[in-house]
Amino acid sequence: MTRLAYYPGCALQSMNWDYRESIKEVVAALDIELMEIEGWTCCGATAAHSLDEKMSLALPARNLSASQQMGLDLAVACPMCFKRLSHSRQMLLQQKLSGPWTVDPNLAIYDLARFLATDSMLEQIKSRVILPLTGLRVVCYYGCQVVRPPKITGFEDYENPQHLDRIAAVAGATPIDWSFKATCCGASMGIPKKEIGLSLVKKLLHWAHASGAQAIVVCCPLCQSNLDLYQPEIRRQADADPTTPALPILYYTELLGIAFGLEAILPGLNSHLVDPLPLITQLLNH
Amino acid sequence: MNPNGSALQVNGRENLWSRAVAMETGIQVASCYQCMRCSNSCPVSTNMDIKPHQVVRMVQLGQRERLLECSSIWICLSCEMCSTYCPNEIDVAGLMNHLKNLVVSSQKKPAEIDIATFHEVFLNVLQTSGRINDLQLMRQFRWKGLVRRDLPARGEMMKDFHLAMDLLKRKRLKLFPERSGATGEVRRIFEQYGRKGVSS
Amino acid sequence: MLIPEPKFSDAVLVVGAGIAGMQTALDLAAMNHSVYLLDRSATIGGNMARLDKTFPTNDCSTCMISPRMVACARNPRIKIITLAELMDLQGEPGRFTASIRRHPRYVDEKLCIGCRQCVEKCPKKAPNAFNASLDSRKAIHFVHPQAIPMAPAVDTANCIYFQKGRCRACEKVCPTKAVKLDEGKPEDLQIEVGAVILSAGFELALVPQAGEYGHGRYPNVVTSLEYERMLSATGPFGGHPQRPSDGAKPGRIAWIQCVASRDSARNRNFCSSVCCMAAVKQALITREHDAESEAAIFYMDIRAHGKDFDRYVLRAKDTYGVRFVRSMLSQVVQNPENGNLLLQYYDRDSLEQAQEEFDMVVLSAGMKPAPRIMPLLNRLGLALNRYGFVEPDFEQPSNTSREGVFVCGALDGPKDIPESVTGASAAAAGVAALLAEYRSGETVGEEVRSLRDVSKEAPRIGVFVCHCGKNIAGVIQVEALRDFALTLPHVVAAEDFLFTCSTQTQERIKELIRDNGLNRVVVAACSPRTHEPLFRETLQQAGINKYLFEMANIRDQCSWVHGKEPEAATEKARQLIQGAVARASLLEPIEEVVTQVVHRALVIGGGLAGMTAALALADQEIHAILVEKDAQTGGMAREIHHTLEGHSPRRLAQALALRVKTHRNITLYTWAEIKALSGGPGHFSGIVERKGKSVPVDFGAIIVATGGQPYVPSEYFYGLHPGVMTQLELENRLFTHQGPLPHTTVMIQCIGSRREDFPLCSRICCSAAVKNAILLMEKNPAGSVYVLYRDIRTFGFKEDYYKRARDLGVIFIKYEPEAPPEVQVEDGALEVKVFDPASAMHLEIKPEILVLSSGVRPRPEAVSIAKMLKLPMMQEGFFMEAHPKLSPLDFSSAGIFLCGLAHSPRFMEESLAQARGAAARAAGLLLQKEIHTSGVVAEVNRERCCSCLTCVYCCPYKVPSMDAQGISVIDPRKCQGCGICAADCPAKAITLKHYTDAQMAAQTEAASSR
Repeated sequence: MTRLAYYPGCALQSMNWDYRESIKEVVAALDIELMEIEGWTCCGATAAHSLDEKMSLALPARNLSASQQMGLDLAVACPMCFKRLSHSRQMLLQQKLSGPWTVDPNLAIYDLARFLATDSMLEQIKSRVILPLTGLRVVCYYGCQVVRPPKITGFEDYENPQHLDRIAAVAGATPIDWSFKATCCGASMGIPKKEIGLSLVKKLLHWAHASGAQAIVVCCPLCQSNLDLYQPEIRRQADADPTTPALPILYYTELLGIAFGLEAILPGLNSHLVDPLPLITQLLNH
Repeated sequence: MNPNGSALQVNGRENLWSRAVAMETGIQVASCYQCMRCSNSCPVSTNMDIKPHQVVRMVQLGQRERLLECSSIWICLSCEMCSTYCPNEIDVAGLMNHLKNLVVSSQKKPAEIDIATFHEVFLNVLQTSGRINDLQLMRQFRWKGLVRRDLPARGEMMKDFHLAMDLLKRKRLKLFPERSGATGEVRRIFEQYGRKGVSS
Repeated sequence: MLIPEPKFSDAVLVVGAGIAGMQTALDLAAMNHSVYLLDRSATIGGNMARLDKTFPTNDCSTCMISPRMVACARNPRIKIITLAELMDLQGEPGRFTASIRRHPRYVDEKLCIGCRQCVEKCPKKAPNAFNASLDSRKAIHFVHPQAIPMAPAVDTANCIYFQKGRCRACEKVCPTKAVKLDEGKPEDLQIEVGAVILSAGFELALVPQAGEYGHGRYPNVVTSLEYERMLSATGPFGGHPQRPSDGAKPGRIAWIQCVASRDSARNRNFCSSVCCMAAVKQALITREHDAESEAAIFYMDIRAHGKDFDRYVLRAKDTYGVRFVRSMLSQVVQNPENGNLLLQYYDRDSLEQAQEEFDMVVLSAGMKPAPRIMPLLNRLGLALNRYGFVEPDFEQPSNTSREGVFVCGALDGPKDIPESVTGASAAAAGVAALLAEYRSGETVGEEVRSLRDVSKEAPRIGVFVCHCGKNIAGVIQVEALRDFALTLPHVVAAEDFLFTCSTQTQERIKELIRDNGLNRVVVAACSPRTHEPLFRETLQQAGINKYLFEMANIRDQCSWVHGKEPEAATEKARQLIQGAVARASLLEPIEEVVTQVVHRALVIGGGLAGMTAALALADQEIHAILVEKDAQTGGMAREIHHTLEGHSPRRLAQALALRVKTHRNITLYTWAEIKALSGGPGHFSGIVERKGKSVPVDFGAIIVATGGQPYVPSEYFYGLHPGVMTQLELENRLFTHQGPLPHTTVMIQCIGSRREDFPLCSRICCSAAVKNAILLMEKNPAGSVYVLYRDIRTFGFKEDYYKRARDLGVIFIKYEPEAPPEVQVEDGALEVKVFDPASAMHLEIKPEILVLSSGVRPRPEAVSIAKMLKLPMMQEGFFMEAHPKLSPLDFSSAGIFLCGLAHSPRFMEESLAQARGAAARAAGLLLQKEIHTSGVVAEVNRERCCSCLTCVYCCPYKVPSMDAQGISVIDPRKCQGCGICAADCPAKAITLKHYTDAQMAAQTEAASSR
């Protein structure tokens, strides 16, 4: 039984509850216990640092402090939160942030997907797969937050990250390499500036198609929302090609949930705007 | 050679501001040699009035007012392609951020008021509940837009509405905000750093 | 028990046999040292052997390097040890013991005849590292076709016998039993040497993050060396580049510059110096090959700071349509549908975003020292700079921090081939000086070989036809030509060879000469320009006068230009051979002029270069006569306070002056000029004129070090406004505290350089500006400095100073030559207007001081020296050396050498290296007892001469003169054998030996008959 402190992040509370549920199911199947930090608060996301950089470091710091008291390593579900928390942690360790918060250098902070992609976890995952997704061609989309900047996120292969690809492969799917693994989807810019959000998502969808993918595997709730929620509108645009199939956007945990045969993730899959079930059913029927 | 570029009377004190920025943020803008890697890798550079490499150059040339009035800093997604690729280790995304902070702290009007308002509203919701509730966020954002008489076209509003309905059905929007038990701590942080208002 | 002290040795160990290693070995051998030339691969040649062509002459790299390789192979003083590494060095200079580990080749080099049967039969393939893994080679393989030693090596990691215990096909098929798979274990050798030279070269540094360009991920993203192999005729695709993904021809190619260079974020903030020119060369050649191709270079600054480089770049742009895009890229996107690469960038001026699709992307990756040499460098305790290169020494270039250990080539910093060759010669000079006091003192002359007297014999010609790999055989039927040759009159032997220039073949030719009693040889192969000396030497070694040799060029003038018409090409080759044989039958042995060498050198010019050259010779016990025009020695160095790196040229000049004045082997004349130079290599004479007195002098070699001077600007109010000055004047002002420190300074680069009347880049001005800008900002941190430039050319490790200047707040603004900065004077105040493309703003600056980075010009005295010695000059007035790449310090006229600013604009440390190098080159000549000059000279028939003076007027070298009887006299030591006088003489009194009318007529007739 692996126990980790857990910071879910605001997105998982409502908009992306499917991610939350699929995490719950998958970690249970892997004998991991995630202990949610009591009274966790929002990390501040983009808004905080845009208006006040210093305050933006304080908001995650208080969560770090709270998690330290649990004496466990910390797993973070959302890459944006992961980066904010990592940044704060670095600043605290370098004593560049003043406040009543402390951090224990021996306690690590993990992005959940990367945690699951370590060799030992992958072994365990492999042993739990009962419905390998053979023949499912996917591109893995990491988004910008989990990868950059490498000094904070600790990535060495920030240009060509591999952890989602490895998870997808172990689940039996075929991950396809493409050049847009970590190209920003627009994050929350789509709300005040919809055209920007649309154009960035459109570009990603185009290249995912061109690479021959049937679905996109993501690890970030905001990326999932953008790629999923905007897709119908993009497909209705004048220059869209109606014959190209829609691309379901799946969390890596949903992918694993399917491969583990966990029915409990089905309601979550249903909550996507681009329904993944036809593709999954077709695949599993073969 | 652009005959239409604006003129700058150099007074020999241009690099004072870039030094101040460097002291405050640790970002060594002076190191830039205008290679353009940042602009070339920025996914939203075409939406920017002043491209990232130009923003850096303008800091070098002391163009504070112009930068505080530009759109680019608000359009920046903080995706950090620029900072990651800069061979001189200039945190260009951090610079954009710093400039946004300066707009707020000097109480200037942001060039992209809707983006700035979105951030402001986000923080308001955060301050109130300790966590973000999307429905509340959208409602407040639209309300502020209304006050500013800056709302999307009717067609867009309808799309928004239908999407909201759909999301509600799928339980992806919650009617009632979720609060964190530690909201008080968050409030204290806000008090310490000052309320972030974006002047409209 | 006492450990016996190693004996003194004047042998030298050279670690690394690339172009630098080979040059230094040859120079040392010429100075009578024995040399152990090591390389860790199975062949000598290094990276230069992998290049296709070299800039700026576009010469074929292999053609240039293979004569050097063969020269090393046949030099009796040079012992080549391949597959070897230096493990440790103990002892002290003069008495080192070097521990060398030699890895087994599994082939006996002495028995191998290079037939390649083993390679044919070997069943196992492995990626071919020489071709950057673009193709494969066998487990037993030759590294490349011109490998020396010409024997294969076994790659045990990929050999079936070594991995699984089976096969041994190579052993079975070898006709001489040279392959010995069981006789190989690493050998440890201890050799005693007096000095060590490290010339281990470089590798491309593709740091892992270069994955941002997709190298190793997208198949059609290749490195510069990979593309070089693709372009090369001996490469994997025969010179027709193919895309790795699908083998298609890449029509649209993009180059991305500064990959893993100029990059502080990856701890590589230095410039690799050669990649700009290499990319331009590759782009030019690509466009030349295929008029429909597209070539685009994405760059920040084009560093074309060498001799003739800017001209080359302009040619690439204007004549060959290479596009230069000043916009750097960080991301390469692969189009999944076809493997093409998409580059998205902003045009700097219009700020419009463009997206372009390319078939292939070439990464101009920077250099790093070969990682395998690093443990040795650490063990030797050498000082390394922060990037891992051996720390270069300013005053003694090529010295390292450990006495007795020298360095040259790319190991002490990325550099171009001429700089590597120069450094190699400088290292040789350093070694020679170090070991001079222990030298045995014997000067060994050339082996006196007894030549067979063929004057009574009928011609017996041997014809050897070359395949040149596929270069000739791919088009022409070589075997048919060989058979045809046997049918020609006087031909008694004919054979065809895969590579006639290889060492093995030379032995075979000698055998054939002996066995068949041949007295004339015809080789039908490549160009005599590169290979005639090689074959002539072979004839000498076989006991035949070397002028009994003729070459038919069936490659450059046949297979290479008629590649699409093989039958016509074969016919033409047949005719060329026919003509060659006809001429050969009439060739006569020629005696060369022998000159007794005067063991002294003349050095013209007493600046840093001249003094250093004189001292380098003097330290080797060769007397130097140093002639300096001014009252003092030191030249330009006297006027400069500090270099960019903080060294003091004045101090150095003073130190050198003291040594020069007190050295027993130097005679210094100041206030003096050299006049009336005459004579030839080995024995020149002249008159030193000094304050009205004349001193006759004679010497065996001349080193020209006439130096340079600053360009005096006529632009931008120089001389009219007190605030306008040159960099030199500014530096002087700052150091002597004249006048107040300026608050605002503007510097304008490229004054007097890179323009139509002076296309050359003056090389030093960017660094001078950076130096002074740093000085200004350090002295007055509240001030500002604006540098207006076209390209910033702070190459090599000077890039760090460019960063320092920027970090201090210096603003650099790029201007286009079509829109230079405007300067006005209003109310006595300077006003500078310039457009800054980065901010798209027009800047108006009011500086107190305007500094003009005025370039370098040669000294006017150089012209008279050139006239006296008939030395060629380039348009800009600097001297023209024999070959810009491989002989930068020699002149075409033997016995005369060049160094310092007289050669071209140089940094001081570069002049010092050149000076030492020139001294080494001169010493190689001066340490011989006698020299032989070419026998191809014009001869006057005294009875026929009618004193018309035509020859005097038409000779471009001004050689013929009239004697007391009014008859033309041509000094065979100076005649260059061009034949113009022989053609022009109306009385047919002049014959050009080796090109007599009878010989030429016979050749022409035979060549044109069917």
